[in-house]
Amino acid sequence: MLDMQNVTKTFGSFTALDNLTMTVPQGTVYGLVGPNGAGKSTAIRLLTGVYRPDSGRITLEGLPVYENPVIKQRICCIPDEIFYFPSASLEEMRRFYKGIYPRFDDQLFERLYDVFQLPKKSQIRRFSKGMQKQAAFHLSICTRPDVLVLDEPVDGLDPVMRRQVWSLILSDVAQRGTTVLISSHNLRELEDICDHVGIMDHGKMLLQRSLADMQGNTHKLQLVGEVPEGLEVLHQSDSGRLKTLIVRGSVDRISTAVSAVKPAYFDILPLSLEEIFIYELGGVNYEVKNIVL
Amino acid sequence: MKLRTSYFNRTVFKKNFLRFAPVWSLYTVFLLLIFSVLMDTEPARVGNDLADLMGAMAWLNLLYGGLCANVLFGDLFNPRMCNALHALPMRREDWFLTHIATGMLFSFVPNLLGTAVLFVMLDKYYYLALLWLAIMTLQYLFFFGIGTLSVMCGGSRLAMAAVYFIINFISLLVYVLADQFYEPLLYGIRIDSPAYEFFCPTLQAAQEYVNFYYDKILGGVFQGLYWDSWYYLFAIAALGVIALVGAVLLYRRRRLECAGDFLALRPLEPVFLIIFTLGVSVALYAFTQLFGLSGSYPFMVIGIVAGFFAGKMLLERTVKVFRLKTFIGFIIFTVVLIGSLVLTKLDPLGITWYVPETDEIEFMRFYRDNDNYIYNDPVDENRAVYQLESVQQIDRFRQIHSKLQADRDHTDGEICQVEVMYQLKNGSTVMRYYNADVHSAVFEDLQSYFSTPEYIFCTDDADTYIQSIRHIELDLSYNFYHLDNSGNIISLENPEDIQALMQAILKDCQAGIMAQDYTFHPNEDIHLWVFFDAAAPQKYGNIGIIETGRSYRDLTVFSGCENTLAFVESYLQSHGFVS
Repeated sequence: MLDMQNVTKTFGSFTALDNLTMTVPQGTVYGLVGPNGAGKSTAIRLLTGVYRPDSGRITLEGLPVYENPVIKQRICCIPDEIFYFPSASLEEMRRFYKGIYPRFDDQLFERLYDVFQLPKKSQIRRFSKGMQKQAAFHLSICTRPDVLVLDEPVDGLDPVMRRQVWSLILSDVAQRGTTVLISSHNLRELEDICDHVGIMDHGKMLLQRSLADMQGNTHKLQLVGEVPEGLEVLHQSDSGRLKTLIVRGSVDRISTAVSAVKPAYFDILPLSLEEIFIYELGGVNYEVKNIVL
Repeated sequence: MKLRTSYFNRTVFKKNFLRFAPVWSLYTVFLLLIFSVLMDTEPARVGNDLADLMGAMAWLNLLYGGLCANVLFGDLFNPRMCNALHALPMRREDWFLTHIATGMLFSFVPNLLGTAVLFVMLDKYYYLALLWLAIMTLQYLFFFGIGTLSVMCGGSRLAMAAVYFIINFISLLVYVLADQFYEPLLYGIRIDSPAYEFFCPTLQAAQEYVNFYYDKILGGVFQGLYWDSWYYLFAIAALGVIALVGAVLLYRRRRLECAGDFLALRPLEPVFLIIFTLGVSVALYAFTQLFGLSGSYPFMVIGIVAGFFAGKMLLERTVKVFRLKTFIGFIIFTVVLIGSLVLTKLDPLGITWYVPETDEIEFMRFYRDNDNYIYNDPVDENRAVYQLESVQQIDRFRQIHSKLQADRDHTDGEICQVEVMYQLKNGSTVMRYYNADVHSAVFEDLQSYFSTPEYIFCTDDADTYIQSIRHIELDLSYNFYHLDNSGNIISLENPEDIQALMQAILKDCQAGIMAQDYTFHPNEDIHLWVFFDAAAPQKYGNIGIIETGRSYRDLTVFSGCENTLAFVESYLQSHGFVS
């Protein structure tokens, strides 16, 4: 379990993470979502031991991550902005990673050439952005990590390669129980692969739970009639007599409350992750209207 | 699972060597090129040239040490690279020590190769090659250590370079600052350059280490070590190690998010801003001096304005620094600086009025320091020296000293420059430098000193000197209006004539009109040159005296020296030189 307890991180007078608590259960695929500037990348740098927290604890299976090579060799990270040694080829990077990560799997590396089909000897910096991303996956997966941390992992990859990469990751999760933390803005994609989700804003964790719980706890309610009291309404819009509400709570609870006021019509619909994201953040002054000029 | 604790990573080490091969290769090639220039069939000549080169290599090591630190730790300045590398399972100590090991080898391996080449070239003087290796390694250790410390202070390559050169040349900056801006306000006080040179490691490291002199005529070799240079070298090498320890401590505390900032340590920002601002002032002043412009204070003001805001722009990495907060900082800085200048001028501690007490003084000397001085004194190149040791003499001169301090408004025009040195009984030395107005009363007091036989003959025992004179030549060629302008030189070898002339000279000395300086004789013509050949030992004698037991002095006799001229005239008449 990758755990972050009450972590605060400041950059000068700016507080990037404010008492953040996040728990990534072992063997899960955890989606970390949040608006730009929410602190996702900072959280990832702290989780991978790059930054030192001002306060709080970051542990993997109870052991601190920061400046702990034993733990860090079990974590591999593909950052948003990948950086290789200038003029390094994939083969040179393999040798480097092999010297750094004791569990580096040479055989897997050879096999993955068939998947990614990247040139061995060319300089990586001459690769396209998508190819550089593939090279990062190629290298990272071969380190045989227990925790794979990915920041916007499939940006720049074509749809086929996206599917290929997700497939690789999920098969690794299935075979080795790898824990995967993904930070992404592509919520539709996350919805397909994540089993846990955390929503961050302004350096804080607004919400974190399993996707099933999250989707079972927030619903879209359409009704014609009076809105019952006692519902936790995140958002409401009216179209003629038809009212559409985003309501927090289980289907049973909502259904009971609505039935009590006897509306002319009502229906309870599941929400997508993207809708949950939008409406949850709407409650903390990050509504869609704010970003539409 | 527990990892073996090792602070060295072979993969990173190899990567460093490959990645920065152009740097150390270039250095190696440069070394070999230097050695090829030294190549000679005579090994002693190679040794001779190599000994000269050892100190000069400090300048190359200054650049190379800084460059190696910059490239090896340069990933800390690039946010993406910095984050990527520090996400790898390595401690910062691992990175640090691996880079340090690589960095040291960047110098050691090429120099080891160079040493092997020198072994062949130097033949029986092979030990010079080992000295070369030791000097290069110790010099490099210092510069690389300071370079690494500078990396840990900087957040960008430019800042690292700035910090590196500030550390290496801060004493030069302080010296120029004090010399140009504060010294003119401290009447009588001069800031000596040796102090700043001592604290400038590059200048000190560039001194000679080995005295290996090949005499082509004698065919011999003179050799030895300059121990002072070696002690300094060991000291700065130790300082290099301390800098490395400081660097690793800073690295452990480093906030990696500072990559790309100008400085990594926020507390250094005001320090940098002050040094940078003063540095720009000094640089601007020096630059304008190149074009013959004068007036240090206007350029200081311009330098402060330019330096402060340029420094602020560097620190904040934006040109938008013209804010109220910045202006407040600028005003505080300017007020403190101008306040310090005003305080210096007002001299509340009375430094410029200080005269040591008589009982504190072991002895004192004073000098004339002026181009108007007539002859080249063999004692101290271009100037004569006068030493006072008795309490009465010292006490009397202290009064003159006080007058010199009081008469401080004369900086140009007809002035006489005087240096005063007190050697105190506690071992310290007090030096003062004054300009005396030639029309003032204190000038007359000085003139009596500068007319004493001790002073004009540069001796501490005038009687012995005068007694030992064997031969005097009178040069009549110079505008001696009583005589035919024949250009003859007349010799006096008769001891009686010699002593008679000397008595006449002594009378003029006592009259205080024999000072050997045009400043003391503004309206007088030169009438005679007198050359002395004496055998007296000289306290401040030159090497010639030691070797031959003889010394030569010349004396210019001005038209006011009535006694001397009267003797010469009577001598010439009695010996039939003139009608």
